[in-house]
Amino acid sequence: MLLANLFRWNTGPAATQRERGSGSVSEKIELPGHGEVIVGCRLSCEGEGCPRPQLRALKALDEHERGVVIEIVTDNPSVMETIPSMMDMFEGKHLATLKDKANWRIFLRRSA
Amino acid sequence: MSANAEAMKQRSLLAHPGGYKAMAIILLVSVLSFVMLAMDMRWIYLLVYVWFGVIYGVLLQYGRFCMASAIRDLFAIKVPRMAVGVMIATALFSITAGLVTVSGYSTFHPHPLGWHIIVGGLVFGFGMIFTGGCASGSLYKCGEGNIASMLVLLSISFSQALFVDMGSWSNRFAPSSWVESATEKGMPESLTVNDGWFDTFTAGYVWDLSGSTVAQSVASGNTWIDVFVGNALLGAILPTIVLLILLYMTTFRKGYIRRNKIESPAFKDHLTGFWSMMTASKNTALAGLGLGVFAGLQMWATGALREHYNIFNFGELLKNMGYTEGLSVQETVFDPGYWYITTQEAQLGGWVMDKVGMDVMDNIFFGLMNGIPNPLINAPLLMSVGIIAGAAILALTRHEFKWKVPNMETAVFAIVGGALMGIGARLGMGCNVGAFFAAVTNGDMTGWIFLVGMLGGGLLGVKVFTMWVDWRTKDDDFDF
Repeated sequence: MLLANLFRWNTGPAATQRERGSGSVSEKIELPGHGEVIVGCRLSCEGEGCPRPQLRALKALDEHERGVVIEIVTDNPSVMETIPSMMDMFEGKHLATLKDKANWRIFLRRSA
Repeated sequence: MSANAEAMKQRSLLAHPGGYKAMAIILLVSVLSFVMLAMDMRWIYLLVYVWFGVIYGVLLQYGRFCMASAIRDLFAIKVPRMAVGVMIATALFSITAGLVTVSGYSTFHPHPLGWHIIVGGLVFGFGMIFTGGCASGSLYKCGEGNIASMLVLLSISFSQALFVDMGSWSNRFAPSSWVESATEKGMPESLTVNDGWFDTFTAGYVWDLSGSTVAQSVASGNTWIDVFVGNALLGAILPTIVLLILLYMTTFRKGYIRRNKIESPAFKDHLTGFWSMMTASKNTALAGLGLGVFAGLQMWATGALREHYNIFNFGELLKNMGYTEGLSVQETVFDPGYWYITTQEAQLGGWVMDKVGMDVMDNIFFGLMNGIPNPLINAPLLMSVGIIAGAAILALTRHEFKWKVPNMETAVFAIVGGALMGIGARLGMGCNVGAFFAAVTNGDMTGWIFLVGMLGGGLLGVKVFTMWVDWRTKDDDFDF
């Protein structure tokens, strides 16, 4: 499965994204300091290098309405640290980052 | 077991498989070090490179320290945290480098000033946006299991080796003035300095240029003033402060004022905001501090060892120890004595090309200056291996190690971007570390020129990359 990834041209095609759990969702999750929230969109960015996950996160924030919680799944430590910092400059709020084995799940919400 | 003891065990380095693997790497490097020293104490010279590499790797991974990230994050998402970390490291290294210089142990030589510096920076900066990491960033990301970064390293290695060993077909691109000047240098015929674009560029253009440090320009007669006022303050710290203020004004200030709901910001609000920017990413700032300190210590250690062994270059020591294969015609090898990245990667590429039957010693880069020693005794190359090991040690400990196989797009970007980085590094006489970091911190202002080039190339790279991502995602059911 890992080697098969090499022969995928990009992470764009919708089918690939759905296989990896990307897309519109409606899942409840408990976030520290925010209680139970409903995740409205998940971006699977595993294997993606900077700045693709950051650009995708910005686009997702832009495409969704205020209040929608967006989850970004990444295995890139730089992405994990940069995305929360980005929220200072863009209309988003970083809610929490959860660690899941070697992945991070970053939760954002559009604030304006 | 009590709850406290259980909690302490969980926090222990050995509490998980990654921790065991990290300890295994430390043990392996330690055992190999002891074995080498037992064989010949003179291997200490090489082992200094290795262990400083391990330290750099730990610091780079700890702070996610990457100059590509610094430039890319500024232009793509307006986040200055990595740029701040780089500036902190630059200011601090200038002080430690200054201490090394006044002690007489500095191994630094300024680069010649010319257009090639900015062009090299442009090409390098453009390439690193697509690879996702600079030269040092790609190394530490290898230690995190990032296979795309490994492709970048391979690409940088072979692109440089091929670039410096260009054959006669490239002569048409060299001005006749370069050819004449190269011929007049009277170099050994085996080096064919007037054949091949890069040789002609080096011998017929670069060698006719000159370079100096701010200390050499100040020349007050007092070494401490020359070095600390010249190199450190004027050459590095003041420009760094100016850049930090610019970063605050253009990227951090607006968000800080909005977050803190400050209606009419006074000067003290800006001071607080500036400090907030400096400490926004503590691990990056700490990594910058650490890199600045240890980079200076390495210069001191290598300089002291050269004095101890009465050598100018590691090639002399290798020859004394009986290792003569791969030395240059001057019996030298690449031995900067400080943190460097790309030249040793070129040597790896050149060594492989030599083993498959290509003649790579008929040029200036390998034949005259750097040689192609066996990778197992190539000190700067083992420093790069140390960086990978150090990053792996920390990544394993923090559960951040994961084999990441790139998709085809990322792999292509890694190879093409890596090739551009390799070419840019050779044109600019180094990379983000050798041509910028080591240069500016030792009073060589060509480092700032290289940075300008990197910024320009990085800006162009971000624009192209963003257009690419937009184009590739426009037909998706969801646009991101």
